[in-house]
Amino acid sequence: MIKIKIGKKFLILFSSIFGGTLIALLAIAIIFGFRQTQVDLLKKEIEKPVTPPEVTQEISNPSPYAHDPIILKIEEEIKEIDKKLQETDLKEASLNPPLLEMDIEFKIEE
Amino acid sequence: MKKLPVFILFLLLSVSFTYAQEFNFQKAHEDYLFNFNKYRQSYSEYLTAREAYLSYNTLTSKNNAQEKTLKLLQDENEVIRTYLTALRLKLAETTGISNYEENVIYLKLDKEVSWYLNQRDKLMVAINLEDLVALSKESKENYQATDVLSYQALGSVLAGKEINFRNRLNEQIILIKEKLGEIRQKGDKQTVKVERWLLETENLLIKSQEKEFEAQQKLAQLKTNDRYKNKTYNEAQYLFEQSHQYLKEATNQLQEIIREIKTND
Repeated sequence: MIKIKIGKKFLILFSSIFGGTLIALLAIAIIFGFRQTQVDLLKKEIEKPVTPPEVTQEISNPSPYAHDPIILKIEEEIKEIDKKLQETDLKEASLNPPLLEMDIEFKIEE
Repeated sequence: MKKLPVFILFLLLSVSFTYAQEFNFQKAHEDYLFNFNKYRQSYSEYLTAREAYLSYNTLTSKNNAQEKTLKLLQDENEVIRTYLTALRLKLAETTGISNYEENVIYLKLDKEVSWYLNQRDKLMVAINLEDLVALSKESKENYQATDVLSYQALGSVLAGKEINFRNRLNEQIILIKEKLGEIRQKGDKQTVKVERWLLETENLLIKSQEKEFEAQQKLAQLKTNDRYKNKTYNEAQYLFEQSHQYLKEATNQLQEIIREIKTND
């Protein structure tokens, strides 16, 4: 009978300690896990390839020609030329004349 | 029934037209690269056969050497012709080259191709190894001229690109000048500064043209007996790059000019 009582007390004590620890560990895991996810997300954001933002310099003091269709068209065309200038291949290495071994000889060197 | 031959003719014409349309620089270039790889394989086989012939000097090894030499020379001939065709099509798709210059180069390229076609026929009737060696010497000698023409044609392609960009930039300068005339008349914005900047931009275009002329002159001076033709070509290419740099600077300035026009005084 005593044995059973001790067993019950022990069981209650043990389960409350064990349960409490488990809850505490779970809480720690959840909190730290969440923080870790946040850190990972932040890291991912940092690791993202940085694409330079398109330079759209706002004109704070626009002239009457800031929205002139001709000026805007010229601006567009110049941007297009600029893009093509950057892309242009001025080497054309694949079209260099072929290197050929043209020394065909069968003389036996003596 | 009478309509049948007409229909067949029409069909043939449309097929050939479609083929002609499809055969562009990209295809020609692929064709050239394919033949170049074939040539390299033939060269390796030729070296082995030559080595065997020089070592054993038997009739069989001589016969094999002759076969491999013929194959090598035929492939070499094909490489040169497909290369010249690719170059011709590159010129055709490059805007900026004057019609006169383009036609002159076309004539020269066609003449070269026809020389190699003739040489290919000669290879077919070569009787022995000595004939093949002699024909190979002829090709080697002629290739010196082909080399010069190739570098000059390439120079025209690069010059064409620069001319095209310069023309496009000049068109925009004309439009800006027209707009500035309008602004000046209205008097709602100062134009003096922008006009001065435009002059500076035009100077950059002139400098770009000068560099391009210099490059073209360098290539025009190439001779068949020049030993280092590629060195001259690299020097010309450097001048083209300088010309290109001026065009980039001019474009940046034009962007600044537009910004200035869009900003109030």
